[in-house]
Amino acid sequence: MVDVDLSQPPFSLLDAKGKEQVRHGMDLAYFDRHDIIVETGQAGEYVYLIHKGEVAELDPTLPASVSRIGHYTAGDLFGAISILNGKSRYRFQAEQECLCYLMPKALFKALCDQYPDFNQFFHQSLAHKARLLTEKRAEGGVTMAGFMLARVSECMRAPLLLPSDADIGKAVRTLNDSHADSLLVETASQPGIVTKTDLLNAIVLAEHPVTTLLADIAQYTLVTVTPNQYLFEALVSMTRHKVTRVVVIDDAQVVGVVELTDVLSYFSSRSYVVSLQVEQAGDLPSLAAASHRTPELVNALMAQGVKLRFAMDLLAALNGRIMSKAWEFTIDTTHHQHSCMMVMGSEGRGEQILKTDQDNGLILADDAEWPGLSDDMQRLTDTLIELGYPPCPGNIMVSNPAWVGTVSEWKGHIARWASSRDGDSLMKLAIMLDAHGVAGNPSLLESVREELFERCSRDELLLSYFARTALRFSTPLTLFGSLKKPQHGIDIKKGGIFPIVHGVRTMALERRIYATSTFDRLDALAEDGRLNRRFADDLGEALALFTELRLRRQLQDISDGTPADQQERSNRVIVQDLSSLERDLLREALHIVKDFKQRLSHRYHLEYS
Amino acid sequence: MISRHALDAPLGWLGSMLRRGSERRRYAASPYAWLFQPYLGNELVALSCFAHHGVISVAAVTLRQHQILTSGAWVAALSNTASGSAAAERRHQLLYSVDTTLPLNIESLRSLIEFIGNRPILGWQLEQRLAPLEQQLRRHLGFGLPNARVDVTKLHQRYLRRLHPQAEQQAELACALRCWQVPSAAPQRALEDATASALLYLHLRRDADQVV
Repeated sequence: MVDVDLSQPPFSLLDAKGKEQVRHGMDLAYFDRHDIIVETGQAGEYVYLIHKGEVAELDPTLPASVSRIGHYTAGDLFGAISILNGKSRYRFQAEQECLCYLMPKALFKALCDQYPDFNQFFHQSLAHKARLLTEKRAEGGVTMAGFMLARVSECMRAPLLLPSDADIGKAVRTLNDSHADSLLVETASQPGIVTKTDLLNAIVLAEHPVTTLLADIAQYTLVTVTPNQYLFEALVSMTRHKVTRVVVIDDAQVVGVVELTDVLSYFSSRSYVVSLQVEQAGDLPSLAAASHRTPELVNALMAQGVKLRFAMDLLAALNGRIMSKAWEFTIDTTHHQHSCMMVMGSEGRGEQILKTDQDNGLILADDAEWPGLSDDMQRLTDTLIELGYPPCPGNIMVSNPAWVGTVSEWKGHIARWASSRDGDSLMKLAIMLDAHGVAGNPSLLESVREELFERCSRDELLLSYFARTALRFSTPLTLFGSLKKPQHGIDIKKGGIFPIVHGVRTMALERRIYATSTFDRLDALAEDGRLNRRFADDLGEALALFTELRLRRQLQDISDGTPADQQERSNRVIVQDLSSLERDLLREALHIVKDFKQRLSHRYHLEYS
Repeated sequence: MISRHALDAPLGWLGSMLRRGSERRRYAASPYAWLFQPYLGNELVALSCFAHHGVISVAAVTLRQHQILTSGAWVAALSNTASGSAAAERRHQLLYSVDTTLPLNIESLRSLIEFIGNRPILGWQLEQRLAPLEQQLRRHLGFGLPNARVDVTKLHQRYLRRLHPQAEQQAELACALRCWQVPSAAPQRALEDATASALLYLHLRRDADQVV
């Protein structure tokens, strides 16, 4: 029996009995420097778990300078693939004095048979490994494990259906009998919903008699979900559509209703109530209080192991609501119709999980009259700062007159940027491309974006200049394809996030894709046929991984109380601190980035620039 | 039988050689004869042995070239029913993490020497630690372990002296492991002790190859 750490995957997938089997079946082996542990073509006899030392994976058929294809250190596992394939494709050689635990082939196969999860571990793709890691973290989550994985079907209540010829009186009686807040009306074409508020409005405001048919006062624009969706997706759509209940539809049949209160009863931890607080906030201080609690929400979501994409969606919806509330509180309603506030950059893409800075601008209708505009905008910026959005270091804020303009002024800017093509203009184009309207009249932004696509999407030269920026930072991989390990960590934003985001942005510009989120753009590009589906998924997965690594670092910085001026550091990921599985994932993800860059340079002819 | 003390004290190596010779001749026709044959393979057996209060914890693990076959190790506490107590057995189980307890009789000793066979044995402070086991072997079977021996302590001290003539000699296995930077967990336990001494042997042998 040997004392070996079995807390990391794949061994964490075994139960106590399996672990005991491993402990009893493992041997030890000692390899000297330059000893060959497994030779090319040799039948795999053992799975090796490195206890100490380093092992290189070599392809002896290649010239020496490029033959190194893998590198394993303490805690890593190798040799499993050789067993599954029957023989080893490569040579494993000890780089240092090396101590390995050996799991015999028979035991390995037996474990694979007994534990499907364990077996799966060796047969899985990048996305699969990432999911595993997420699940592992979810186990560590302290509060309400499993909540985030709850489906709508677990929380919905049976619908209260009335025929279309029922009147208001009957509806009130039914509601009272069943202690419900809303009911559904069956009509020939589609179901409608009637809430208590609707009934009151019908009787008091519209002065309908009690005998009015429900079909006349029901609302037919329903917000729907399917029973298999996650519960928090229902929450996202409630927040987005500003409603408090959604209807559950399965195969065009109404099967239930999910009320906000039902969802909230699932959210027993107070951190999930943030979205409700935002919705209920009647003045600035209470909105600020809700807004300052979003990091808490992010923390909780991360602890639950929520897939980052959904967390981003939730946070983007939340941030949008906060912004638009702030807008409502500070700007007079007479201006709402002829102006549009847009958020740009990461916020426009819906990828800003923590409030890192505010990038926003204002579009006015051409005929708008707004005396005291600059004062109002200064006030809006100050309000947002109060709500916890730090000022933008590049001064891309509504308080800056350069980012406030009428539709025709904006179109003029875009024309000028597109023709000058210098670094600053290209950056501004990129920022503008991610713009997303949060308050006011969104059609103004639409017309500006229309102009942007019109000017740029067919201009090959501009696209080439535009795409070049994606190659500006090198991918932190060594010549041999392993991770670089500088002492201060690798910059994940420059090395991983930026190339993906910018490359996808360029393609979206070329293909005139209106979505602003990188994930949506990837979906649209795959739909469009510009990228193949598999590669688009891989890119999305890689982006999610980078964002997650960065987010974890940022959350840690917040809890450590690192001052804001040192946040440059929070983009850095110390490779040495990651577990071997995470390191493996990071390496594969960076390889995907490298591949993507190559495709970009091929498509936009960047080879010689 | 030749008295142990008479020959061991002044000329230990000569005494044990003579005794081994006489035992080989005496057991030439017995089922144990093969144990006295010279070994020609490339395996060794790392042995560790702790004895207190009538209980002997023994761990034997095979060392084949660079592999230590921990999965096939022979680990047991041999309890002398006459003088050993339940408390001593328990103490051994806890202290040296030995799960199986066998009665100290011919069968269990035979299974141990069958496991070791005629392979050379190695261990830390081999002579001192094996003494109680040898004593029991002689009592029950009539002969001591006839195998060739490698005392890792002596190896360690020789290499250390060669590198640092002034260095203080330490008799702790943990110190030696630290000194040569051999990773090992808890050499306190019986099996880990045997494994650690085998690792130390592998490490030192490598140094020897480099010196030559």
